[in-house]
Amino acid sequence: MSTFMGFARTVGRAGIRNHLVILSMCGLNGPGARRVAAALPQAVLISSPYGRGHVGADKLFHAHMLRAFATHPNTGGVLILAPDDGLGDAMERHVASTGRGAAQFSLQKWGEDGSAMTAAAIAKGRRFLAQLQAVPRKACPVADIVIAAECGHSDASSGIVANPLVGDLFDHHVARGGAVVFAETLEWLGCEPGLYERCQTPQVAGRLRNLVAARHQITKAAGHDVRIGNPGPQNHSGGITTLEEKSLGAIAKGGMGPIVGALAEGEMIAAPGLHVMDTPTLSPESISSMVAAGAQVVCFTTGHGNPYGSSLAPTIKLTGNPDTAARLPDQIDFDASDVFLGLRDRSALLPDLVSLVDGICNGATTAVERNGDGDEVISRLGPSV
Amino acid sequence: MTLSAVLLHPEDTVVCLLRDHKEGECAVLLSGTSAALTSDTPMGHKIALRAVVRGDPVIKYGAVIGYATADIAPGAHVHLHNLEGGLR
Repeated sequence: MSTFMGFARTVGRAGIRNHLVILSMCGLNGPGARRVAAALPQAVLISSPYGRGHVGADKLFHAHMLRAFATHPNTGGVLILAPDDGLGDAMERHVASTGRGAAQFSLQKWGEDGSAMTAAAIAKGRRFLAQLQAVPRKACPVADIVIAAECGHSDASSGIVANPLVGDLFDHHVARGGAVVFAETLEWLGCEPGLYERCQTPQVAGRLRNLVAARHQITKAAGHDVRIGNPGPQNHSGGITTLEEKSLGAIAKGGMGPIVGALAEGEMIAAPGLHVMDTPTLSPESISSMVAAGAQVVCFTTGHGNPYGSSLAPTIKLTGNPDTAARLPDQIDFDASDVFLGLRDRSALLPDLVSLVDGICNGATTAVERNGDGDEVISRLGPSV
Repeated sequence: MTLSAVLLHPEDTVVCLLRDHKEGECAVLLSGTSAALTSDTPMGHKIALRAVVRGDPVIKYGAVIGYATADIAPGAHVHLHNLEGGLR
């Protein structure tokens, strides 16, 4: 498949959804934003509980993430909820500059009347949704697709089946011209030298070294040694012997290809190929950072199960654990347990997974979308003042 | 034919068991069968595909996961008693 049926954008990559995003830029707008979202169930609510008193890198990051969600390939238009016209107007101009529709509602403009503002935003949102839903899908290059990988609540099947399978998908997608990304810096413990060796240029390797060192400095400064008791007794009883082995099972999600880009949290993915991103370990933070970087679809592997996904980027849940696949059929999109049961070789499952991913890019829904288990979270890089 | 172990990368010196195995059993791989297991070994654990000399690297996922702390025979359980990570 060299094309998929998606939504071409004036600026940047094509989308696989044409979402109306309700962007609540500040915690002051949160309750009103939830009322708007309740009235517009087909829209995606992205709500920051913060927005005042950020300083330094944390302030820049928060602003970057909001802009990235508002102009994400899967975003068709944005209802902006802001505390003041300064913030709201700047975002409205930014969104409009990418060819997307935007409508700004600020408490300042509405004389601090949150009820009136909410009612007006709902009315505008209904018209907006109708417009966005009327846009037909068109053939778009499959090379526009950026796939992110994440793992959560892993078990022995994750490192043996689901993660290497997503790695196969990554290799396949890079071969057809696409971009892919995996993250979670502390899951690379002990394997960093191998990642540096896989970097395509010394510059990329140097950047990755610096990002890893900075993340480790955070743990060290907090007096925390992430290597103590790692791997733990549960890992040992499951068959994992060394830290390198545990980490290799996690980074198997990235496939075997060369690393073309080392990215800071949320940094835009500009080129095709395999990227690694420095992020915290919590899935909501790392997934949102990869989505902000441009990923339109996420592959989330799990051992015991884990309902969470992105709200903006359809998130495919995969498991290699037969019990989990049987126990959570409404939450698992791809059951790879035949490999764990020895019934099929992993290579036999790749065409099925590619076909599932392509179908979801063309509009088929994921379990996370059907269940309403998506969200976006913006990491904090420091305390507020 | 039901496979009972998986080779994660062509260069690996160990394979991962997909079910519990008894001593004397051979693991069934896509490429054939392993040497007979030298001890009972549980699901998820590793056995050596070929002999590893003490001090040599053990390869899984095509990468070094640690070094043998004892000579390891084909079919032997590879775990804490004969494998140590390279990180200290």
